[in-house]
Amino acid sequence: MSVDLTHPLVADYLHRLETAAAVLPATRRGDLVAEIREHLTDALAGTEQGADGEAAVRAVLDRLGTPDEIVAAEGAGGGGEPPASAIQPAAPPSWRPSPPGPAPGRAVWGPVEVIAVVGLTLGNFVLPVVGPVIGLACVWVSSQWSRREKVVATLWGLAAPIVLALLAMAALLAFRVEAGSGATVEQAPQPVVSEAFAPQSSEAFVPQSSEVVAP
Amino acid sequence: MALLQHRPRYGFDIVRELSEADGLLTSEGTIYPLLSRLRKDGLVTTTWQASDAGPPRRYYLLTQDGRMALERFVADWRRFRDSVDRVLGSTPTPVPAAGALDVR
Repeated sequence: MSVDLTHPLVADYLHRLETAAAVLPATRRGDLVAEIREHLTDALAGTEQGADGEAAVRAVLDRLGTPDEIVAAEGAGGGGEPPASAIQPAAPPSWRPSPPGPAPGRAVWGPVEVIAVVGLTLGNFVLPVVGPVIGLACVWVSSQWSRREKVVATLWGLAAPIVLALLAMAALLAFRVEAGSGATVEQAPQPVVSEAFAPQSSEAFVPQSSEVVAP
Repeated sequence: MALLQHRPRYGFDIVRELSEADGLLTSEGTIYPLLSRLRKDGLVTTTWQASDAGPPRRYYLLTQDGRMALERFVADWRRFRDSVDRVLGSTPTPVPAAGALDVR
């Protein structure tokens, strides 16, 4: 005998789904439960009862996700109800007019936030100049951070290379003074340094950054 | 939506196809709220078709608006992908940080 929707695990799942879906409008609730029942009918087709069947049923339900997850997805991203109200049980608000809940959207990090953080940290080493610029752009595009946090991030993002540059210059000056202590300071080999690095920087980096800004 | 481009499909069929593309679908059940939103936005519509075994199935298909939205998304996505590829591909090997910064 094959497994159908009357299997105890499936019946329990559908019961929990109906409970979780109680926050949805009646028509959508009916549709969602019907869609999931249809899905389960297809997914369980050919599954035989028994120990193996039990494991197969569990696997199907695991892949489906919990009823709470599915109902929460009804509220996410679509106009109408905010996700928080869809997740919370439909208890009448007693003493608070609007329960604040766990600030919907605030805790969710998307690719933009990840690129921002990676760009501002590892980006410095992997793609000098370009990496942090992309990171900063993502910081400003994201809605995860307040304006104040974005300003702080930008200042730090700009300050780090400047501080590094100053440190590098100070180190180089100290080195030159030491090396040139026998001879006169004017003969220190400063043109060699700037010639060696100037072409690379002007050719390689300047067009890069303008390309990044353009699209 | 791209899966509905050439023919209508039913829910479990869509899920099976998406699951084969690694990493696109974590909780299979969340596809139904998504399809419901697309239907509410007029991008997708549903029909009932008899199935070989069991009750009739709900099939999802793209509307004209859905087709246009898909084309726009595909164009936007290609442009975005090309921009990222260009930035990643045309970057020179990193210059030692102290040397690069010393020029300024």
